[in-house]
Formats: sequence, C-alpha cells, structure tokens
Amino acid sequence: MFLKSKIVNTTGIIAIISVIALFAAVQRISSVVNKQIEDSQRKIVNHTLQLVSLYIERAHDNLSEVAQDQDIIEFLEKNDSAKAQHVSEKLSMLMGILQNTGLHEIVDSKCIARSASKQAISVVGTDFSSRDYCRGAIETQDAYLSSAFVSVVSLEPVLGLAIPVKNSAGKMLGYVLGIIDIKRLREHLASLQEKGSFIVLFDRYNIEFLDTREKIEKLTEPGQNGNTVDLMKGEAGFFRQGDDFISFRKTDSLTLAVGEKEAHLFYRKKILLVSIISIAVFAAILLIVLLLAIIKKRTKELTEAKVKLESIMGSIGDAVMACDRNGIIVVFNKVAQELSGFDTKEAIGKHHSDIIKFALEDGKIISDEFIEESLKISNTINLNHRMNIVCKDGVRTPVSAVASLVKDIEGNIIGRVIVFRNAAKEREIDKMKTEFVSLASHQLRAPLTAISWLTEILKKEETGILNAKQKELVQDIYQSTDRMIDLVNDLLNISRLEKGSLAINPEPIQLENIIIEAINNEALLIKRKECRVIFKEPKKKLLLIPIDKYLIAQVLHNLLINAIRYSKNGCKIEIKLEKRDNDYLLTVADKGIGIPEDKQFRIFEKFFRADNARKMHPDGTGLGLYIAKIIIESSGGKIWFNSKIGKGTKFFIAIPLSGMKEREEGKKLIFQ
Amino acid sequence: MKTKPKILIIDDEPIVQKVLSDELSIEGFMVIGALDGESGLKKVSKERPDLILLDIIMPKMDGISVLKSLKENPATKEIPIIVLTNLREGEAVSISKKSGVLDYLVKADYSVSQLIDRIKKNLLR
Repeated sequence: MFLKSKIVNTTGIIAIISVIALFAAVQRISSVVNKQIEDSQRKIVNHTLQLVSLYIERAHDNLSEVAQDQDIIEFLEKNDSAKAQHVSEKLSMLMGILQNTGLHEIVDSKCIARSASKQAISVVGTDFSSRDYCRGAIETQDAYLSSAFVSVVSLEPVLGLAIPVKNSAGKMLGYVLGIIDIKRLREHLASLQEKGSFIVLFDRYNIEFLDTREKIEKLTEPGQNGNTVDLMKGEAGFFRQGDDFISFRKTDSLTLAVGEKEAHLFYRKKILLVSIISIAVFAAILLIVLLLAIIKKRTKELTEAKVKLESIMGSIGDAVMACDRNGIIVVFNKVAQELSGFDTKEAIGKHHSDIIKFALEDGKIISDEFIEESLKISNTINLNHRMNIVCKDGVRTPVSAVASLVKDIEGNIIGRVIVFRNAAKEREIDKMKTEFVSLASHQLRAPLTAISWLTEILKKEETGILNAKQKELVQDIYQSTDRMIDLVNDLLNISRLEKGSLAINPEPIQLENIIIEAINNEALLIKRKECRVIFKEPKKKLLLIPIDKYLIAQVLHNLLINAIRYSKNGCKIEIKLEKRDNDYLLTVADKGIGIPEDKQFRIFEKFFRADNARKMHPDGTGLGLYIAKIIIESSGGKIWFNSKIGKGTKFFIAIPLSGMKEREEGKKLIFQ
Repeated sequence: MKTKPKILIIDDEPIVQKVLSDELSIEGFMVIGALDGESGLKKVSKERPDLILLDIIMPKMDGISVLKSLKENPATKEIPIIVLTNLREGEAVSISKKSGVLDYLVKADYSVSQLIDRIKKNLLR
C-alpha cells in the first residue's frame, strides 16, 4: 500500500515537473522562433540597406576615378560630353539595382547644372541647390537619397540621389544627380522578396513609398502614411502587426521594414508541432517513469524474496548445497561453509565435486557416486551411515547427508539439493550406545551363565533325582536362559555390525565339513521337530576355500533354524552345495510356511518378521537374516531367495570361487 | 595317574567357583580356588597346581597381571593356563593369546559339561 502511494506520489511530482518543463520549453521555443524571424528579417533589412549604400559608394568611387584630380567644371569645360555621357551611363549601370530612369545631371560644387542627360528637362545653368537631395548631399558631404516625389517628366514617383564628386585631395568638385524610378526599384525589391516576406520603405520623412504587401498597381500613393510607421520607434526594432511580423531599421535618408506575412500561422504550426512532440516526450517520460517504478517494485519484490530465501537458507541448521542440472553449485549456505571450509563465494559457480567431497569412514572418497546416484534413480538418497565430509584443509568431519532431485512444475529435473549436517555428536552417541550395549551384554552374561550352569547341574540330577514335573520346569528354565543368552549375543552383534565393518578372517577349509558340522550343531532341534536334513554334497570334492568358518557357521545356523522352525514336524530340509562357473552355490530349501509375497522385500530388514512366522514362533528376534545378509555381502558373496506361501522357501548363497574377502579391522561376532 | 591333577580356579565369581569345583571334583580333579588375583598368585606358589583356570576381571589384581607375573617367573611359567572369562574382545584377548595360554574360553559360550570336556581335552594334550 505504502509502496503504491509512493509510486503515485513520485509519478505525480514527475508529471508536474514535466508540465512545467513543457511550458518552459514552449515559451523558449516561441522566443527562439521570434528571434529567428527577427534575425532573418534584420538580415534582409541590413542586406538591402548595405546594397543601396554599396552601389551609392561605388558610383561615387567610379565617378571620382573618372574625375581624377580635375575640377568637375574643368572636366566639363573641356566639353568632354562623351566622357560625361560615359560617366552617366556607368552610373546608371552601377545603379542598376536602383534602375536609374536615365535622368541625370552633373552639377558643380555650387549645384549649378553643367551637364544634363537627354531625358533631363533641366538645362545647363539651372540651380539645383534648392533641391532637397542636393541640399542633403551638400550638408552631409556624402551621397544622399531624397524623399519620394513625382517626376514632372514621367509623372512617376521617383527618388532623388546626389553623389558628391571629390578629387584625390578631397576637394569637392561637384555632384552627379540622379533620379531613381520607384516603380523599377519596387520591381527590383519585389524580385528580391522571399515568399511570404514583404518590404516596406519609408523616406526620411517617414512617408511610405514602397509596400510590397500590396499589389504593385495598388501601391500606396506617395505621401500616404500607414499606421506602420507609428510602430517603428527607435533606430531598429521588431513588431507585430496583425498576422505579420515586421522588423525595421532607420538610416538618415531611409527606413526599411521587412515583414513576414502570416508568420503567426507558421509560428502556431511550429508551436503545435513542438507541443505534440513535447506531449509525446512527456508521455514517453511518464511511461518510462511508470515502467521504472514497476521495475523497481518488481526488483524490490525479487530482492526481498531473495533476501528472505537467503536468510532462510542461512538460518537452516543443516548445510544446504544446491546444484543446477550440470552440477554447478548455485546455493551454498552458512552451515555448508562451516562444514566444508569453503566460502559461499568460492563455492558458487564451481562443480560440486570440486567443493564437496564425501568419504566413507574407511577412507574411500565417494563424492560423485553418491550425488550422481541420486540422478540415476530419480529419487532421494539418504546417506546417514559412516560418512565423512572432507574439508578444504583435509580434515574429515562425520556427516549424514540427503541428496534430492529438484524438479520444475513439469517434472523436469533442474538440479539437485544436498543437505548434510554434522553428525559427530550423533556418531558419538551411537558409539556410547554401542559401548553401553556391549557392557550391558557382558554384565548380563555373567549371571545368565551362572543360571544356565546351575540349571544344567540340577538337570543332571547330580544333586538328587527330580520328579517329572520338576524336570520339565528345570528344562524350561534352561531353555529360557539359553534363549536369553542368544538374545544378548544377537543384540551385541547388531551393535557391532552397526558400529563398524565386520572382521572377516578367512582360512582355507573344506566347505562340506563346515556344513555337516552346522547340521550336527542343530541335532537337538532336528530331533525335536523330527525333521530330516539332507545334504547333497558336490559330485567332486571341493578344494580348500578361504572362508571364515565362524561367520559361515553363523549364516548356516540362522538359515537352518529358520528352515526347521518354520516347517511342520517331520519336515524335510534339503541343503545343496555345487560348484558353478564363477561361484559356489549353497541352497537351503524347506517346504515350510513360506514368506508372504507382499512382505518378501522386507525380509532382510533388521527386526522384521512376517506375520505367519510370528504366529508360528513368537520368540524370534528378526535378526537372523539381517545378520546373514551382512556377513555374506561384506565378504563379497550374494544371498537371495525364492518363496511361495504355504509351499516353502529356498535360500541361495553364492560365494566367489576365490572365497570370502578378508577384512581385518573390524569387530568379531559372538557365535552361539 | 597316581595323584589327582590339581586345578586352581582364580575367579571372583563364587558361583563359578562352586559349580566348576563341584563338577571338576566329580571328574576326579583336586580343585582349589582363589577369589582374586593376589591370593591366586600366592596359591600358585604354595600349591603348585597342574592347571590354572584364570578369570580376567577381578578385584585387587586382574587376570592379565596374574598372567604376566606367572609367565615372568621361571618357576611358574610352565604351568598351563586356561583363560576363562566373559570378556570377548579387546586387549585382554590378544595379550592372553600372545602369552601362550592353553586356551581362551568365554564362559557364556559353553555349558558346564562342554567346559569340563574342553578342560579335560586340554589337560590330556
């Protein structure tokens, strides 16, 4: 909620800022546009005025050049009218832009006409000093343009132009006077005007004599003075009149104004365009801001989720390592750091086999087998027995570990998670437990032995004849004690098997003899159940095979008593020994109660007993087959069975031709 | 056999003493007993038995120390010894076997008659 309002706030502030920025931009753009229009018009004004000045100057220079040092009167007295004509023509040519009407006179320094063109109406001797353009030139000692007036010859509006002629010493020789046809000037200027632009010219008395806004025919009459002039204040400026934008500049003899027709439309279009662009930009900015806010929110959520996950991972008391499909570590929590000695940073990105090494207690490193195994069987693997983790510095710490597959929603394997924890304490407790069981067994055994021995003596009737009932009772005591001793021994054996590997000390023996001995050992039970045990020896006597006779006797004992116990009285048990290509196969077959099919997979489990077996013989411990399996498999052999309920069971033991594998560092079993 | 063979039982368990001495007497042995290692050693030098049945865990002096001192003494080192104990593993077993005892028997593994048979077999060897 807070986050949402924050986003709204941020967006609002950004929107306001954007709007302000937009207005500022429009203002700025309009002022820039105004300035550009103004600048361009000023340029036109200046350019035009410069052109006028330039031509006037050039005319003057040329005339001066022609006049050399001569007095204009001398020049004229020489009656070099051809030259004068030439000068006049040259002047016309030079003033081409002004389109001289061809009317020109040459006057002396006192403005008395000395020469006149053919079209001129004045005659030599006319005093021009009263003409305002001549007076202007005399006053300014410079070229001078007059106000507009109507030529008496052409009845067209004209301008008078006086250009002083000086010799090289600067002495005023006289003036060349010209009349400029305004119509032609206008045409020229009209040709100069750009599309949409116009020019307005005022004379020195602010009389408008040229306005290209109007059609040439409807040109303002000389003397007519529009309101335009009122707006032209100062030397130069810029103003707006109606839809037009006009800039102007004044000189001593002339005011030129250049305007742009309907510039505001252009201006409006520009503003509109700028506005659209600005709005688009604003919308884009808004969108980006919004996107950024969303991204920020998502990022924050992701970061929060990540932090949450990390803190959960960090808080887990067990070491957690996760790998991707290729076995590259992606998660490595704090406990994993502590247990492995590798930093999280160090571990992440590496293959798990480079970081985590597990080893069996007997030293064999099994790192990959264990983790890779989980991939193969597509399931969780528990490794809770006798495993150490090999730390960075080589130190081994007891751990128990679980490897599981990580699957996505579709069930594809995307990685593995290995959870492990320090099992040092567990192992310690386990050891203590085993030691306790060991001690308890020893301590229990002493009084049990005493009871057994004493009962045995009673039974022998050395101390007096017992009646039938007494005999039965003593026999019961004796058997119970025996069972108790068996049970204590079994418990002790289990604690040994779980504590560590089994010691196997094979020595070359005749396997047939061991089997016969094992059968003889069960003579009492066989007799009581009135059973027949048949041993089918191999056709050819076997060679001596390295076998731990105590261990194999234990296995045979367990299988035999099972076969006898779970068969009816008068049963037949068949034991067969044969040499095969790769092993010796020992079969113990009975026709007893069999193992229920749905319980067969559990038959080698510790303490497991099928219901039918429990019913028939309630006192069994469920340890016999468990011990047999450990003995056979630890020594390199195999044990399996076939069974049908009500039909009987066949146990098979395969011992390699090379005999049982030796294993020294282990615990010995207690044999009955 | 003119004189009865003399068997010394060194064991702190009175029932063991009682049962074994009864049974061995019936079998025609002369049986003497000691309830700890120290008195056991004294009886050896005094009685000069033909066979010693030696327990391991005993008060005052344990069976291993008795065994060592018997084997170190030239006068007693030839006397045959059968270790008869409930200890099945550990140092005691290896030391006893290295010291050259006649047999190492775990009490719980044998019935009285089996034990007597075994002792007799060992003596006749």
